[in-house]
Amino acid sequence: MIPTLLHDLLDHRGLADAQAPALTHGDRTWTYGELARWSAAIAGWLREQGVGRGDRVVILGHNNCEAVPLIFAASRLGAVFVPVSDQLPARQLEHIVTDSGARLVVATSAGASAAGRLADASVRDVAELPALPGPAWPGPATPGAAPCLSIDPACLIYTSGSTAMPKAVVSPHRQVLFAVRAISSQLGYRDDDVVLCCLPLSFDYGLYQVFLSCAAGARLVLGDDFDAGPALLRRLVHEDVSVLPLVPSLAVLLCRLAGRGGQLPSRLRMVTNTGADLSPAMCQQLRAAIGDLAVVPMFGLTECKRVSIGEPNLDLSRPGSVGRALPDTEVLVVGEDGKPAPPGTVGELLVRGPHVMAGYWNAPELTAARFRRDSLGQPVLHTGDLCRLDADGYLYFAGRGDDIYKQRGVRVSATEVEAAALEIPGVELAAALPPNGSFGSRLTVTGDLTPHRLLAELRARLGEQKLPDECRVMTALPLAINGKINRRALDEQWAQAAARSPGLVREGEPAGVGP
Amino acid sequence: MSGESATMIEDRVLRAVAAALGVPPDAIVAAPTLFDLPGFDSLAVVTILSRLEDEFGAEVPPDAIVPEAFESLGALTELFRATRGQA
Repeated sequence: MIPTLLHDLLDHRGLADAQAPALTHGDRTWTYGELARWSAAIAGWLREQGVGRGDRVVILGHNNCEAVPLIFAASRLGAVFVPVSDQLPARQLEHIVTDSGARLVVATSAGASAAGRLADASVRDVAELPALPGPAWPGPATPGAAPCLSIDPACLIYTSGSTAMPKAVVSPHRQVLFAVRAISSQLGYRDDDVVLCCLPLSFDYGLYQVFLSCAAGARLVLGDDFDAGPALLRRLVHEDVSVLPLVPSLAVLLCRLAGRGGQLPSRLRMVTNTGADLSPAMCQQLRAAIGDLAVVPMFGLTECKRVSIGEPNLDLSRPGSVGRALPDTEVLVVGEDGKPAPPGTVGELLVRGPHVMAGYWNAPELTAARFRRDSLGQPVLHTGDLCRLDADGYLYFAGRGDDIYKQRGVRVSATEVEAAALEIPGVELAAALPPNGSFGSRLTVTGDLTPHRLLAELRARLGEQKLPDECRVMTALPLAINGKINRRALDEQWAQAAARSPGLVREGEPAGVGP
Repeated sequence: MSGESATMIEDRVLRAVAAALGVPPDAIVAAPTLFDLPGFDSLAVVTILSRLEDEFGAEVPPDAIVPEAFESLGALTELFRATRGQA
C-alpha cells in the first residue's frame, strides 16, 4: 500500500505490525493496532463535534499522549490539524486560534484555561476524548471514499518570527509524505529503533518524529520538559533509546549529564541535529561520551520541512556542513543577480522539489514573495537564508538574511560570529545579536572559559573589525519552547544587564561575567 | 556526615541557585515555585544540579532526580540533605 494521506502511514502499521509497540508516554505504551483503533474512535468523536473536511482543529498541549491519535484522527476526516504549545503566551495563542479560523480547540487542562478566554472557538479538554476502545470494538462506520485529496492540507504549522506574530505554513499530505520518505531514506530509522522525542510536537522537527517513527515501525517515546532536562540520561537508559533528535541546547545538556557519570545509554546509535550548528567540539564530546554514536547534521525550514541531511559524523570531514539536498530535491545558491553563485560563494538559498509546501496561511503577499514559480509553473522556494555550496554540493549555512550587519566598514553576519565562538575550546552555545538602536553587536556564550580568554580567542579568529562590541559568558541562554535560543529574550537580558551595570563590557576591555 | 542544620544547607542551596540564575536571593524566596523564576529552564536545572553537587561534594543518585525535587527551595534542600546522608 502506498500511503496517500497521513493516516495511511498508521493504518499500514496497524495492519502489518498490530502488536508492535508504537508510542510510549510516561509508563504507558500503545501498540500500532491500539493507536490505529484509538485514532479511529477519536475521529468519530471529532465528527460528532461537527469537524469535517478542511476544518482546522487546534491541538493545544505539550507532548501529551492524546496528541498522537488526534493528529491521525484529523487526517481521517480530511480535517487540518494545528499543533500548538500550551506554553505559548496568551496573545500568540489567541492570534493562532483566530488566524487559523479553528473549528475546534482540543486542549490539555493547562491549555484549556488559557484558551478558555477565547470567545469564538469551541474548546474541549483532552479528558473528554474517547478512551482507547477494546479489541472487540467494531470500528467506525467508515465512509468508502477518501476524506480528501493528497494535495489538500494535512496541517498548519505555525512558526514564530522573532518580531512578528506567528505565521502558518500550509503542509499538504503529499508534501508531508514525500518529506517523510526522503528523510527516512537518509536517516534509516528501523523497526527496532526507539526514538525519544522531547521536542514539542508544535515544532515540525518534533512533529515529524511521529511520522518517521510510524513509517519505520519504530517506537516513539514522547518526552516532557523534565526529560529535556535533568531526567534526559535516565530516560535514555530506561527506555533503551536508540535515536535522539537534538537541538544544540539539548546536546549540551546531554554532554553535561553524561559528564556527571553513572550509566550511559548503550543503545543510543544516532543523534540528529538541526536549528543551529553544533560546535565541532560538542560533536566530539558526544562521540566520546557515547561510543559508536553517529552525529548527523541537518538543515531545514518549515516551508519545505527539510533541506539537507549529512552523512553520519560529517563534521569530521566537512566541518560546518549541513549535508546535501534530499533525494529528488535540489538546492541552488544564487547571487543578487539571481544567477547561480560559483561554489564557495555565499548567496540566497533556493529550494526545488516535491517537499516545497503550499505557502503561508492567510498571507498571499508573503507567499508570493517566498513561494515563487519557475517558467513551467513549478514551485521554487526563496528562503531568504544565506548559504554556500562546496564543489561537491555540500551545503553550509551562512546566516539569515536579516542578521547581516555592517561594522567598522565590513559586512558581518551574526552566524559567522557564532561559528567562530563555537570553535573556541570550552564554548558550548553561542548567540550573537546584530546591533540595534541602543546597542552595538553583542555575543553571549555558555561554557567553561573566562570572558578574557573568550575575547582574546575571538579576536584571533575574527579580527578587530568583526569583533563583537560586547561579550558575556553566562551559565545558560534563554531558550524558546522549541529548545532554540530565544533571541528576543536575550535582547531583553542585554538591556536589563546594561541598566544594572552600564558599560558592562566594551571593546578592548576584558569581557565581564554577568549579570 | 556533618551536623549541618537544614537551615544552613538551605542557605547554601539558596546562594547557589541565586548565583546560577543571576537573580537576587529575595526573588527566589518570594517565587511560588522555582519553575516560576526567570531562566529556570531545563538547562538551568542541570547547571544548578552540578553546582550544588560541587558545593556539597556529593552526587545525587539518578533516581532521585525527579521534577518534584526541583519544585521549591525546601525540596532542593531536602534532596541534598538526603544525598549527603547517604554519602
